[in-house]
Amino acid sequence: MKKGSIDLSMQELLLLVLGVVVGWFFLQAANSFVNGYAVDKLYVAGDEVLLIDTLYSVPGNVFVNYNSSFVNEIKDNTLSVKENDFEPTKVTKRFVPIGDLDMDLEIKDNLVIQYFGGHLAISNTFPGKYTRKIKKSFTNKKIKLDKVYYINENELDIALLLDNSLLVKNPKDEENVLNVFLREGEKPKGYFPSKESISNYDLLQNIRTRLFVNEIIQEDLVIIPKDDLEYENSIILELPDVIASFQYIQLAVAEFYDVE
Amino acid sequence: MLNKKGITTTWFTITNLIRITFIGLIIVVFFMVASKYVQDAGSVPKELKSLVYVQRFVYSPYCFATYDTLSDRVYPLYIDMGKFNNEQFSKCYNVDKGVAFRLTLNDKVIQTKNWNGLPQRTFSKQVYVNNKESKLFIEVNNE
Repeated sequence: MKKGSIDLSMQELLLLVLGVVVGWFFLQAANSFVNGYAVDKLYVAGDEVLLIDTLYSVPGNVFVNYNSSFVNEIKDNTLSVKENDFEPTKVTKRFVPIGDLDMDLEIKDNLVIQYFGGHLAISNTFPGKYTRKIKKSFTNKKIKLDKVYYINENELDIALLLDNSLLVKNPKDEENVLNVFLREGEKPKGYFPSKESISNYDLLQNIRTRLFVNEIIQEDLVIIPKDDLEYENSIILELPDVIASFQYIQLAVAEFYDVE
Repeated sequence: MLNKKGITTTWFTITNLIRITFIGLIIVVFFMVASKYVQDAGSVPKELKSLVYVQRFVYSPYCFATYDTLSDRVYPLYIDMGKFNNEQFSKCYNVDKGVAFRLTLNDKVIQTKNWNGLPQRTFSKQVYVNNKESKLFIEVNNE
């Protein structure tokens, strides 16, 4: 065999390898479209980015467990969703942080998004047990409930648990403010995509509470961990004695929690 | 002067360059079309995106919501006019491109860094300033 023809074969071999690689990319992309993964990734990416942007709206702390079978890559204020490192149809979406966010990470499966003290943290596991630390200034406050009305907008025809220690007095306008919590298992329907996404937390509640008819006094949200054992001092009131509007239930505020 | 082997190799290189360029073009067109199809299929409504950002402005203590240090409580929708300025706005909505906002509250006007002066959409939201009802006017562009 002549030396020249060997060189030519090497070039042809290189071309063949290139062709195989290109073909593989096409097959991967076609497979992704045929199985619907390409669109799934787009929806997941859009959903996750919207969730992150929404978390920045929460006036407190929140933890969300987002179940996803894709690989999530978060870098330079963007979130990318992909099936693997070499796939051609990964979806990238941009979110807007508060302040600067220095994050460069890749997470598979579970996406645990924490917004705590104004800072965003993302991992694939819950950081641990959360315990509630109630500030002394919030204890032993009393409110009157006789003029509070319940608006049943989420089919929550249940008794509410009022944590007496968390009833606070608004020092600004002298109006009484109350926080209403739902007990374990009594979550609003239809807000989260699945119960599992908030399974480690009891309800995030409440937003609007009213002391007088049609007069909004305060709105806020609270998460209660399931393993919270500080319910002993709480009182339970049956409807319709207790009133809370669930009209604007958002994600959560846990102003009284801290990481152990 | 090229010999026969040299001519063959050069011709092979040119032919393959044309092939590679052609394949490259097909790949680029394929992914552009696919990307367009996918983007159209799952885009989030632009009004929803803007609404989420506006909620941030009025709900978060790291934007304009009142934070009471005495009780350690946040008062969503109660705007702290001391924080209602461009510097706080830049921290709260840290973006160079994307949706731009201009907010007007009690005659005070603030805007994002990427505001270009041409509002595409305008709406308002009821907020509270010093415990009195007030209207926050929101102008949006580049949605």
